[in-house]
Amino acid sequence: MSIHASEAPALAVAANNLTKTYGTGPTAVTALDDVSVGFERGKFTAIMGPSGSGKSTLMHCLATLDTPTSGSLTLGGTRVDGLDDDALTTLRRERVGFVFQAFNLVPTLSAEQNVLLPLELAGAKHDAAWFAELVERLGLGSRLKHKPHELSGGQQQRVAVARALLPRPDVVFGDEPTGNLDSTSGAEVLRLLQRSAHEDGQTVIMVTHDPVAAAAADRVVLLKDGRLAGEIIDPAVEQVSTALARLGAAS
Amino acid sequence: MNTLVKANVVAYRRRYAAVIAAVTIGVAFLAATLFVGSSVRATLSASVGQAYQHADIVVDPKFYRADESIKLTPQQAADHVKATDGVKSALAYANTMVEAQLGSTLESVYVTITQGDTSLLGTSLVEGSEPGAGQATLNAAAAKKAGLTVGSTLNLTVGENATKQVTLSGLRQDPQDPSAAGYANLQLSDAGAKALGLGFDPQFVIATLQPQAQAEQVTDSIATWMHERGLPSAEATTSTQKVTDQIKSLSGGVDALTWVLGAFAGIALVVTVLVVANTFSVILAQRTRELALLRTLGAKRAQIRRMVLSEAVVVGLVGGLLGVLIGTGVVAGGAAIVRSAFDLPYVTFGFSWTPIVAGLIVGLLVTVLASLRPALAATRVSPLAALRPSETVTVHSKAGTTRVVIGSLLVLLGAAALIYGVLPTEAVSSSFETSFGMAFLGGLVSFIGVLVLGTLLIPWAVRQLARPFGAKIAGRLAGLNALRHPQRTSAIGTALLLGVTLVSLMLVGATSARTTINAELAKQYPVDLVISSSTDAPLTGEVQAPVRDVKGVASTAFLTPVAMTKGCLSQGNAAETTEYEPCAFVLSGDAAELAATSTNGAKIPALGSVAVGEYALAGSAGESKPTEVTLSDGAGRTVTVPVDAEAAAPMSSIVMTDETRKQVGLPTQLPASKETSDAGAPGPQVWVKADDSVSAGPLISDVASAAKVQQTQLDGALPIRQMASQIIDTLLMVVSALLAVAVIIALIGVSNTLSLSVIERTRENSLLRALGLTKKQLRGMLALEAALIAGAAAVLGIVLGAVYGLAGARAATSSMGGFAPSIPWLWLAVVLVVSVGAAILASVWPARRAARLSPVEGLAVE
Repeated sequence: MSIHASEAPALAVAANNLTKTYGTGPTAVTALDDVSVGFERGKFTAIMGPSGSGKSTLMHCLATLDTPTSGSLTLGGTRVDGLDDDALTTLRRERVGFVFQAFNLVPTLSAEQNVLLPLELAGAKHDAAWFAELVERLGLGSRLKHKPHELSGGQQQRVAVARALLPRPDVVFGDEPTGNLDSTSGAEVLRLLQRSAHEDGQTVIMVTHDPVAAAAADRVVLLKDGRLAGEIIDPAVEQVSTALARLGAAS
Repeated sequence: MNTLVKANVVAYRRRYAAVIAAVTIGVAFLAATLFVGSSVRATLSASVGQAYQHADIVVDPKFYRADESIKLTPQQAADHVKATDGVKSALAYANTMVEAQLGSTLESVYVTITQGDTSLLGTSLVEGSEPGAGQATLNAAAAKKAGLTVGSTLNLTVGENATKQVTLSGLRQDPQDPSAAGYANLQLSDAGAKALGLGFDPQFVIATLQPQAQAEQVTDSIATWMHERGLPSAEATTSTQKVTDQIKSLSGGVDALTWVLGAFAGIALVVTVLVVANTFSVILAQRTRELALLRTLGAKRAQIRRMVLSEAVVVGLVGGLLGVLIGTGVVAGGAAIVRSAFDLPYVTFGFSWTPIVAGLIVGLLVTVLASLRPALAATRVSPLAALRPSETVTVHSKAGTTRVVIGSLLVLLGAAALIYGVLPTEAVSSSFETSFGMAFLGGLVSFIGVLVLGTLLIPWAVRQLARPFGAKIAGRLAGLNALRHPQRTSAIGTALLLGVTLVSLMLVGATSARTTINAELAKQYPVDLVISSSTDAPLTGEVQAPVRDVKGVASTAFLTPVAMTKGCLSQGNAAETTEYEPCAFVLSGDAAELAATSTNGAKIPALGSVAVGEYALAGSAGESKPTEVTLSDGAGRTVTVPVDAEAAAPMSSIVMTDETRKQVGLPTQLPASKETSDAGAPGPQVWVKADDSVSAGPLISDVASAAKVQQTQLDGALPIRQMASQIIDTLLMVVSALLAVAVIIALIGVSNTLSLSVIERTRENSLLRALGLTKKQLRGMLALEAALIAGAAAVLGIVLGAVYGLAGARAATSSMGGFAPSIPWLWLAVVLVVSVGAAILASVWPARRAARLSPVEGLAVE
């Protein structure tokens, strides 16, 4: 069941007929092939697919880090395709949060400064109560003054999650957020993302290849060869594994 | 390993390009310096050697040093040389000057009178034949200039108004000898000279030898023969020895020049070492994983070290080679330009292998030395580092305690010596040499201390400068990034600090020296230009207006003679005076006008007193100026007026204001009488102050024609003041240009460090872009980072340079008494703007690259 952006104003992100081609002529590679997909507000969605299925490209396009070759994209009710780099940058820092596999904290800044960084870039004030609650929820209280290299991987990723959540963006993107973590820390990060979706109505979109991580989401969107290949609502680990295996076998 | 070295240099050529550029500039400077020395020497040898090029031996009897026992005539001495065993042929000659009509002008020409084998003369015939009686030869260029050819006649003035004619029998080569090259060169035979009425006493003899003759034996026998006959200073030498001796006596200045230029080249090379060392350590730090991988694959520590040093050798050789090529080209091209543009045919480019070999060796040494420490650090990489994620970690290394102690000690010691050097001479009773020497030594030692402390000072200064930018996140990040690798920042900052300090030192020192000299000049010559009346046409106040309208004139004053000293009265009846009393006249003018025309720093006399010029009353009792002076109004009345010791007057005048004149009751004009005219009373004067927009020469002729007077009626300090300023300005420009090379190398270092840092932080910059940093903010952040490093070094350098410059100027002018410190704010601002501007400019390219990279690509970078 595909949902069209125009029919559902409750969508945080809506992509219509997204196509992304790298290169030209006979060497051209189509990474995304006419993908239309919507993401409901306050839901935690996982994007899955075998290697080369285009899941990272899709996420980059949805997050405005990359521009699609054709197709339209609406983010928080704003059409974003066709905007120039400065406009995209401004939009990104106000409406989009990121959690990366490699944590990607700025090494010269403390944990607290890293969390506040996007708001500072936007020149906006942060909500002190919300900041305090996030710090409390993520157990970062004693670590705020530490530099990234003084934190464990799990702690660094929790700082990254706080950084993504603090501005209350329209959508938080996770790019394999548990990929560099041990299972305990990974589960912790997934719980945090889940909770922010369910309790705070935060839209979360996560790319992963780990069925366990995907099972934490409300919905799994499956991708293969740059096209949508189905979806699973309220997924369980086995369901996801089976679906993935089927996608892999079909190729 | 060799394939790896080659591959590395090629792969990292962009990163190594800046190292090569720095080495190239440093080596080019050095090679050019050495080539300047060898070229000046070659020029000398070409010009001196020409005279003796056809001769084997040169005899200079030095008849002007003959003692009383002399029985020889110059002709006998010359004849002896010709008759000496082993001499094949000889030429005796003498040089003199005569007036000759060359074309339309009557000029002094340099005449050589020859006797004997004229084929030995340094300037060979190019056309025609050797001169006989009634004939002469002329150098080709002079003949061409005067429109003369072989067969033309030439008028010579010999003795008192006796004009004689000679015919040109031939043309000769142009002389290369600087002493003769300025003149037309005329050659006469001894017979020809006698026919013209010119005497001939041989001054020099040059000769060729028989093939089997031993040159030393012949010269020894000639010298001994002459020594025994009353010519104790006679010299007989081989021609090569003669040329060498003459060059030696002329080239003391060449060596000094080479040393001074060499010192600047040395400074540039020190900066090069700092820049190269820093770039190497940055490049190697970025290659940690690669080096670790080699270690896991089985490379030994020694192999890694060898690999890094080999890379340094390749880079040093390339830089050295380019530098030598550029240095050679610059001097060879410069010599060619000077030769053709200024018509100086004897200017020669002196090729020698020394500059080339020295340049290559120095380039190699500088690079290898600079890479030693980074190479050692690289060998400490453990194989495991290849397997760990390459998270760049900021480690705040503490400056070593030893470093701090040594640095502080040097600074304190140097400061003490510096203070001793600039203390007033009375306080320490030292000569100029000791005070300047102490100041120089103190400055040197303390500056080395500052450089040693650079690892503390530069980061501190960067932190202070970064503060105001901390309000915005991009500014704060720029500050943090500038301090991320304190060692890198301080190394590169120190390189820039070195250059900027020296440039500022020269600027402040020269400006202070100039104001001090100007202030001293102003005391002796308080007026730029004085227009005096001629005896038959006294000036009137009406000339003021046209003079004031002349471009370059700031203001004018009109002064009239109103009184004279008693000494002038006594000159009329000199017989009665027993004691000499100086005669000086008093000039009076409007106070406001006088104040407006006085040179900056010169004061006009206070109300009720007079200003006395340096020599106006000199010779009267004692050397010091009197405290009061008695004046006569020329009509029998005298007044005694105090002297204002602070005020200045032109050298032989006494000056008062009109207000003072009224107060003491002197007339508006000294009455004309026999007495006053006998004493040489001056007429009214007009004083002129120049605004320095027009140079002295044209201004003087403009003012003279505006005032309708002869130029000889104009006098004043303007030409001297402008000349002193010009000399200082020229020196300053040359020295600053030489030091600028060091600054340029340092700026290359700043640019290189920044672009390497940007490469290193690709991932982080992309993250910031993903999180919402606009391209403009990213470029601004990187520009600010560069500006902070360059700014910190430049500000520190300017402050240090100003202190050293003031101290140096104070020590150098301590003998002059007054010291007028002056800081050229504008030029210091230019130094700051250039340093910071160049750094910002240097950030443009890496910043554009960083901004162009899409966040997705950047984040994918390992």
